[in-house]
Amino acid sequence: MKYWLLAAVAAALLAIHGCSVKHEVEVEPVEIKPIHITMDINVKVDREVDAFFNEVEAKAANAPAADTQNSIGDTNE
Amino acid sequence: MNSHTRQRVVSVGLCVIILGFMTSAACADTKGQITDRMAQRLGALNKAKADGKIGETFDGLVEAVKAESLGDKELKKLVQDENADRKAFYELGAKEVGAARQTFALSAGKRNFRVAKPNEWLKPNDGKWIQKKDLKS
Repeated sequence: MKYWLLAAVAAALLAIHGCSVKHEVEVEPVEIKPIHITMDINVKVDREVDAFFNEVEAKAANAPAADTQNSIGDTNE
Repeated sequence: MNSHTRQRVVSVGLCVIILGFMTSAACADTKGQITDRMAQRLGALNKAKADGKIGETFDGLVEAVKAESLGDKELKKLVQDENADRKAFYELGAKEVGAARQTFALSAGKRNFRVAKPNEWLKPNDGKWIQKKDLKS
């Protein structure tokens, strides 16, 4: 009878201890930058470069005749 | 140094800094100024390319295909001026878009390789000159 009582008390204590233990895990948010941001920048760069060189060519084409003697339109050398 | 002198030094220093910023802003080329100069030069540049004297590089610049061509002072100046303007644009563009200058330069290289004529010379990143018609895509 004593042993049963002791075992019951021990089990109760263990249960109380087990229930009272708290585990708090702090996980810092992991920042994953979307891949599309990198791709968007490359697309933007390509467009800017295209626009820039196209503007140069357009300005050269619109320049006075004397300056366009050897312009890009003149492919026959 | 008494407080009056210190005040003067600080005031002069601030004026110098402000003037410096204003001057640098005034001296910075705009995209319009860069494109104007490049447009004026484009005819001569295209002729030099057609003659096989200069070519486009993978990083968006122009170079003499043969080093001895740079003995021609006009050609040398053409190459130098063109590259200075292109680099200025890559710098400007990189700041505007928030990308690296090299990204702009490489994009320009790709673009200029794409639009090059078959007989024009190109220099990929292996450093060997090759004509567009022989370039493996």
